[in-house]
Formats: sequence, structure tokens, C-alpha cells
Amino acid sequence: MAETKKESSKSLKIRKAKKQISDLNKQIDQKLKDLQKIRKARLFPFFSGVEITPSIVDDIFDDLRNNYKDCNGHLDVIIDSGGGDIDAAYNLSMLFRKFGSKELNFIVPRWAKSAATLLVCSGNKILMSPVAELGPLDPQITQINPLEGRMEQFSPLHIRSTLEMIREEFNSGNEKLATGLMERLQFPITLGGFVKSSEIGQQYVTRLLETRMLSDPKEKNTLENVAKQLATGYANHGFCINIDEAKSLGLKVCELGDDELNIVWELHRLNRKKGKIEDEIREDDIMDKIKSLPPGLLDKLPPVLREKLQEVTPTINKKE
Amino acid sequence: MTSKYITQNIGLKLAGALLVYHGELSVNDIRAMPFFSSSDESELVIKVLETSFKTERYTRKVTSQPIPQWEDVIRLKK
Repeated sequence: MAETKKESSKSLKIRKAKKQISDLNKQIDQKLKDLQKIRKARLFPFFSGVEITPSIVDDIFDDLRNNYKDCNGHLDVIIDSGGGDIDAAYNLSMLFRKFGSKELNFIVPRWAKSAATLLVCSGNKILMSPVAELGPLDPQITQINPLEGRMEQFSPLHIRSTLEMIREEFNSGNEKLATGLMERLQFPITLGGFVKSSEIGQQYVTRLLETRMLSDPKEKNTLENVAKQLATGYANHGFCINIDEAKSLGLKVCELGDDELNIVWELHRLNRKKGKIEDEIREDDIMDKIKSLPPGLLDKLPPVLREKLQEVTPTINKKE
Repeated sequence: MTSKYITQNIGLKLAGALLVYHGELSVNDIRAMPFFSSSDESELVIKVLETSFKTERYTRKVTSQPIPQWEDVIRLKK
């Protein structure tokens, strides 16, 4: 009886959440229409919520071919993305350009970081809110640190600074420390590959900027500076390139007008609200999936999973 | 320190079981599990699953309107 009551209160909660999402979708749809009307250009909403990947390029290609043939070379893209695969981002840039052949503008309410920064550099202009952020283009390498059992993310730029630090220690007479640090470094060709990978962002952004935003030959110096600064000029991948910083770099950015900003910010807020409700539903769903697992399955997991767990978290189950 | 690893252990075992049973598991589903005290823990579990099993990652479109949405999925290779 209690179980049935619990179930019905849960299904009521889910029904309520789905209704809220449906209402939010209607509001988002209306805001997108309002923005198109003000901007007088077709608008593609790219609030991906996931990394930019090759599969996303396929889906957006389908979407543009099916629904944006009438854009007459004028396309706005409203974007909110933390980045992703830089090759896919470059490919996506070229795709958006085909549909925005006369004018392509990117609208950034909050984030277009990393590979998404490369994407927005493919347009004629970037329209930013006062809190919008672009970010550096240095690639990020993710791996499990086997000694500490945690994820670590680093940039190829950190390899140069690490080598510099070792060199300094060696030159200051701390040979033992320098040798110890050297021994902990990875295979040299791997390191070389990581360092080389930092050039890709600079190459792609140069190609994009010189063929649209900074295509005037008089802007050649600006172009080179922007590309170099975005690829190697910031100490941290999370660096906040806000509208003032983007302007001072030489990118063609402008602040959203009042009416545009009101709509764009409302869109951002509505989308966040929708995301929160979706996360709540997801948590319930995953717990249901866990409860429906056949008994004993956990014990039948491959031993490799257990071994791997021990390998990456050596202190597991050890009491402190 | 110990509790951190225990939460990872539970999360990892359950995520591993779901992956084995369903053949695929959304990365957002793993992140939504209420067993992790920080996003670092869930990201570690995702990485461990990807390296412990023969997996591939793909992006699945979940909705088209009004805003196209995708999710990352880990799938067991056949």
C-alpha cells in the first residue's frame, strides 16, 4: 500500500516536471522567434550542453539542410558551449559559413569556451552579453593519475613550463631534484606530440579569421597576434576572455543591444531552468534503472573492473 | 579520504553493472548518480569504465525542438 502511494507520488512528480519542461519549451520557442524578428536573420540555437563532436556535425548538417535553406546567406547562431573536439569545431564552422555565406554572426549569452571559441571566430561578428566568456585554444589532455587515483587535465603549455622548471633546478645545482622530476616525465615522443598539438588551434583560428572576420590585408598583424594569443598567450585554459578582453585582442565583438540582451538572457535563464528539471528527472530514472538490475549482477562484473579500480585508487578500502 | 573512494566504488560498480546490462550508458546518467561528492569522482568513474571495458563513445541527439540537445553515451563494443 505504502509502495503504491510512493509510486503514485513519484509519477505525479514526474508528470509535473514534464509539464514544466513543456511550458519552458514553449517560452524558449517564443523567445527564439522574437530574437529572429529583431535580428532579421534566421537563428540556429546551439545550446549543445555536450562537447562538440563529429556526430553533432552530422546532426547539424541534417538540420541546416532540412530547415535553413531559406536563410538567404544570413545566419545567426546563438551558442552556449564549453568546447569539445577542435577538428569537429572547425568542420562545424565551415558548415555554418555555407549557410551564412553573406553574413554569419554568433551570439554568446554566457559561454563559448575552448573549441567553441574557435567556432565563433568563424563569423563576421561576435555579439556578447556583459558576462559572456570566450577562452583560450590550447588543447586539454585528460588522463588518470595512477599515483593519486584522480583525473588530471593539463595543457601542452604546462609541458614547456615543467621542462623550464627542471632546467632551472638543474642549473641551480639541484641535480638530484631535477633528475627525480625527469624520471617522472612521460615518453619523450609522447611529450613532443602533446607540445605539437598546441599548434593546431593556432592554425585553425588563423584560417578562419583571415577568411572572414579579419580578412582585410591591413589586419594581418592583428590576425597573427589574436591567433598566437588565443593558442599560447594565456596561463590557464579557463581564462575568462570577456567582451573587453576580446575587443582588446582585436576580435570583432560587440555588446548586445538592450532588446536583444533581454531576450538572449531570458533564453539562457529558461534553458538553465529546464536543464535543472531534466537533471532531477534523470536522477530518478537512474535510480529506477539501478533498482531493476538483476540480483547478483554486481558480483558478476569482470575482474578487470575491480583490478582497474585498485590500480587507479590504490588506497581503496584501506582504513586511515 | 576513505569515504571518497568508497563512494567511487559504489558508483563505479553500479555504473559498470548498468553498462554491462544495457550495453550502453549515458554520461549524464553517471553524473546524475547520487553517490559522488564532486564532479571529479564521476569523471574518474567515466574514465575508468571507458578503459576497463572495450567501449566507444558516441553523441546521441535527444531532442530537436525548440533547441537541439545531445548526450554523450558510452557503448560496449561488440
